[in-house]
Amino acid sequence: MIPAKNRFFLLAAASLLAVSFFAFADDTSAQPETKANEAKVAETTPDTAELLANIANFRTLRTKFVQTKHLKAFKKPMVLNGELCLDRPGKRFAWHVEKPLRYSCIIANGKLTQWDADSDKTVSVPFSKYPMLEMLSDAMTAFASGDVKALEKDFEAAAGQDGTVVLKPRSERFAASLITEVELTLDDSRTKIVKVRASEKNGDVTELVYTNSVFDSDIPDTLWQAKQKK
Amino acid sequence: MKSLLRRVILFGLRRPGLAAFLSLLALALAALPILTASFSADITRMLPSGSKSERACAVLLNSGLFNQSAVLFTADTEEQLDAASSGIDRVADEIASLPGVTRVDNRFLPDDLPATLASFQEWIPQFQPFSGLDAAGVVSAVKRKILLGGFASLVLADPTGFAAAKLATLEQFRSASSFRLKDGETAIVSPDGLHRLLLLETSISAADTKDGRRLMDELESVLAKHPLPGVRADLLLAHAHSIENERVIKSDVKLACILSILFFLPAILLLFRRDLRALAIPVFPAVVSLAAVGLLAIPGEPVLLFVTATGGLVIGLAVDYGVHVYMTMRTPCPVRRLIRIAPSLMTGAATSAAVFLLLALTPIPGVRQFGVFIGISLLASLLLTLLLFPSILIRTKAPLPKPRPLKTFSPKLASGICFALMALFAVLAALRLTVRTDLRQFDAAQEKLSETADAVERLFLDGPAQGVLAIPGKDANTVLMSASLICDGFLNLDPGLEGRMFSPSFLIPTKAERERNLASWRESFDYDAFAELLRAAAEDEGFEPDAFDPFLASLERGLESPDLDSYPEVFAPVLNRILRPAADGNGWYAAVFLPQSALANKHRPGAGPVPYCILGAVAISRADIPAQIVSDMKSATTLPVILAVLSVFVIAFLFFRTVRDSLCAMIPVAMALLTVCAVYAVLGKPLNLAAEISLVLLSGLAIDYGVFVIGSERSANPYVFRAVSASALTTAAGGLTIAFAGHPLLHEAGFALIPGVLAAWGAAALLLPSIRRGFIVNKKASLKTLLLSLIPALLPLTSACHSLPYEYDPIPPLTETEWPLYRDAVQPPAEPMKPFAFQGKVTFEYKFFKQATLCAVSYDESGELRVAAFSPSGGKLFELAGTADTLVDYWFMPIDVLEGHEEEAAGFILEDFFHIFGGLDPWRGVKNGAAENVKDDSKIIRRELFGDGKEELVSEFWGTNLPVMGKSYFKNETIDWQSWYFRYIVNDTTIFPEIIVYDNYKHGYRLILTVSDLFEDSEP
Repeated sequence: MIPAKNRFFLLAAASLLAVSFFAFADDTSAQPETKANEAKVAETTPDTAELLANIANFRTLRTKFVQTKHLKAFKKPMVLNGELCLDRPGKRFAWHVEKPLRYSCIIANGKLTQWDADSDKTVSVPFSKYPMLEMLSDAMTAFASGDVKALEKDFEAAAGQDGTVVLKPRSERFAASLITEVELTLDDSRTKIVKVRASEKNGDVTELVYTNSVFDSDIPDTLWQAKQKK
Repeated sequence: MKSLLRRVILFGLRRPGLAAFLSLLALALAALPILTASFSADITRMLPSGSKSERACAVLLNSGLFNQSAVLFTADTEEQLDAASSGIDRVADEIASLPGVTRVDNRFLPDDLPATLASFQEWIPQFQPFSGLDAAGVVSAVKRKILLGGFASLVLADPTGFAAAKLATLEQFRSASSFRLKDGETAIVSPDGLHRLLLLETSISAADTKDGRRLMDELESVLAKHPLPGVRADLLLAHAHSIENERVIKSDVKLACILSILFFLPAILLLFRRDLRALAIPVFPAVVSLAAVGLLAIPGEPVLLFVTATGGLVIGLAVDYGVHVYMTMRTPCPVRRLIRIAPSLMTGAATSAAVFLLLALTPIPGVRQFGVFIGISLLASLLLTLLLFPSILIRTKAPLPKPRPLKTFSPKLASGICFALMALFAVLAALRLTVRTDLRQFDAAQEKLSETADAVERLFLDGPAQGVLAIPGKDANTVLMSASLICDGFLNLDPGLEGRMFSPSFLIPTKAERERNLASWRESFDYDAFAELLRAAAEDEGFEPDAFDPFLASLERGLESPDLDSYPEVFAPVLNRILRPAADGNGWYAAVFLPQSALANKHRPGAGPVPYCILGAVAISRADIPAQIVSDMKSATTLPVILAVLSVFVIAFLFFRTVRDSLCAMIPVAMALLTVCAVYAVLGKPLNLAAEISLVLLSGLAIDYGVFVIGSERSANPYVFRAVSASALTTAAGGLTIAFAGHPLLHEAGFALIPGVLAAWGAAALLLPSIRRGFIVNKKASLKTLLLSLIPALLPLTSACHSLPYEYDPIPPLTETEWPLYRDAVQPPAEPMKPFAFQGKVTFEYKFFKQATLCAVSYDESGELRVAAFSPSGGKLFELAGTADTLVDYWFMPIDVLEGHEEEAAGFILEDFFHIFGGLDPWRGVKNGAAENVKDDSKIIRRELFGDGKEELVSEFWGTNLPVMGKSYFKNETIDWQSWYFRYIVNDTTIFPEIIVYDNYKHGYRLILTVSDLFEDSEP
């Protein structure tokens, strides 16, 4: 029991929420790159290298998504619907969930801002306070856009079947303690990502499917605001 | 503040061109959102947010259950109506093809009854369980019916009599809903045979005036295209109220503009001796109010047209600033004098603006918008006037009018007159004033449109008015289950309601029942054998061998390819109106008709196996909704008036820094408020929402007069009488601009304003100087006298403070007769807690921290509870499992602050969830506790002692076999945790809490759980 530490709950809850966005954001600061990693990157086959070179060549992405979380211990999956926006030159990322709970997370201008319709509260966390968030931002942008090159230091990439790219966490990286595999599915042109499937160590599987993706269009300013109209 | 105002004035004087350019630019930018704004005349925006009446009105609009869209055809004779029948059918067909019309019901029953009965047979296996079907018996029953005079075509189409019995249920709808039709008619014809109704369903929201108007035009053109000799057609559209309200308000806005020009221009030319530059005075607030409308549009909510129509009022209030600037600029050393009086003007404006901005605290969206609009307009008008007007007037060489000093009388006489009037008005108000907060009086369309609606009710409804329960749910099946459960509850409580209520569940079973029925048929019924036997029996009895083939084909279709999501077309005219998707696309609604008495006194909303209110159902009856509106409006409007009075005093005190002068400045406020109340009392008019808004407005401007007069007394400024008089005149002119409005809300607000302004002017300009001088002479008596004199103006402060985010519906007390029955009937159930599984959301609150998360929870037969929580983005936060005594498994997302405490945290969370979901049924989960039941007014309280008697669980129930509504756990007489269950949902076999508020007092946090998906097995 921690009777005099009620704030502990608050801190724990806030911290959990801040880092919970994507479980597979790696703590690179804790583990400097090794030569072994560099060597493994170099091992990528020429076919894979060609495939990786062609994906994620876009400036902005705006897409609807359906995220389905299959939990090992539960029969029914947890399904989230929403809209995702990426602005790679501006280093901005927006994640708007519409169902089951309206929620937005914006990573831009050196901070992460969260809002949800239930509490109607907006919380901003600057990267300067939590440096890990910047890495989280980079990782999320890389995963959501299929920018495998940016992930190479943490994951080994290989071309899978039917236009997929399979990412396996390097054994010494933190991600390996959480994730067994991430599979990126590409469209027919093999240049655009349409699905991300992450298999976790505990048996849970998360699928992120994009629909109605629009590339290189101007994204309205309202989508870069965390608080959305009720 | 003084330095800032000085800079504003000097900047305007030194750089007039730049100041004008910047001001216009800022105003234009502020006004830009008007281009994309949506405007609304929705009267329900004047209901307090979250109130029961707002919820009821929202349900009314969203459910579409009460969509009164119809065409009423009226003839002078029955023959004329009969002759027009085919024409009406053509009209119905054409209306059905109009865009936006989703359905037209022209007939209560189909014309081709045999075909209807035959096709109905396919529903038998879904609608009733298999209980044996004897082929020979069916044939002999058919023969008997035909011999007894039955129509062969009808009897053969429905040999089992199943369809006839189900269609008879429709008759129950007619009696339960008081809907009356002419006997023997399949069309919807009134019992007198002179009126016929076409019922319309549209996909256009009742608040959508644009598409509603288009639909109305199209309907009128269809009716004009098909003239029916001797028959008149009247349209009854749900959209007509919004359209008519919008039309009235738009014409009011135009009228207010014209009247503003007519009233203000002559008044200004008269006051300022034809100095044309004075015409700029009303221009500043006029431009500012336009920009303020743009600001209102920024939050994205529709701008209420009522609010924009009060622009004339803004001009009436804000021209005061121009008047003061004008007067000052005609004195010697005008700029220095203007800089000196600017803080006083700003205090007056800030006081008024503060009062209006206070309205932003009210729960009424319309009043909030009004307050923000006027508050912002006043402050911006003053700044604009100070910035631009002096440069226009600076070269004025017109002779200074002779100052007119403030009137003074003997202090005793002035005080005597003032207090006598106030006492008289207070007595009049106390004796005769009534309050009417029913918003429907402000529906501009009510009178005009009620004629046709009344005609429909008079012609087609008979008997006592029925109450309706609107039952929400996530899909059609859920609302059917809830409706079925609620009806069972009412019938258990009062078997006399049999035949007097109607629910969609009387027509069609729930999906689970359909599946069970179908399974029983498939398991026990051999179709081929039955068909063979039926054909043989038919031949034996002298029928053609294929006489029963249509029936058999229909039955076979029902067994082979059943449609479990649909229902017989013959039910559509009724079912489409009482079981339908919500207008906003979120969920479904069902309507249950029952006597109003069953909803009101005799049956408690908390009574029966499932009280309807805990399933989220809303009772809608003509008697209750107006009463609820009145009750909600009372509590929502009293507080702003009280706060307005208090705030003006506080601001006056901050300015004067003496209680005496602050109280003196309040005299015009008290006089204005009491005068309005007295005028309403004498005229026998009830004080309504519009008048209450005017009272707030009067508080703001009357304090201005008080501040100006007291300020001038302190600084010996002789020009204040003229300024206050001009100000009162222009404000009264502003009131007049809306007093002529056609919309009742605006008209009432203007009407209340005029006597208040005159009273405030009289008190400020005529009495206040003398009273203050008297008090200066007799300082000791002044404060006491002032306080006593202002007491009559204080209105009772009533406010409600709710500590919980949800509210229970009121529960009538348990009677002495009911109590023994309830006490004895409640027994602990034998079986353990049932397995459950759900997904939902949890809002975690800790002091000012609030965060929503998603969750999945399951409880299985082994007694293991599993909880997983996710951030709203989908990231898993933790997952844990355990029994009531043991934590079995847990996982937390790795974070530093939790490191080493994971097990402890998992134990707390598990404990909380067992507290919440353990013992939901009466007495379940009790372990050897000494227990007693006690009656507490409307509830049954169960007290159970544990351990050495120092721990106590207190559970609250609303009657027999009810789920628990609240649980509190005490340790050493200190509360440890508390859980409230505000609403339950139904699945096929049980009911389950939907909204739960759990307080953990030990650690000081609150969890608000909302179940969104309840699963039938224990694995979500």
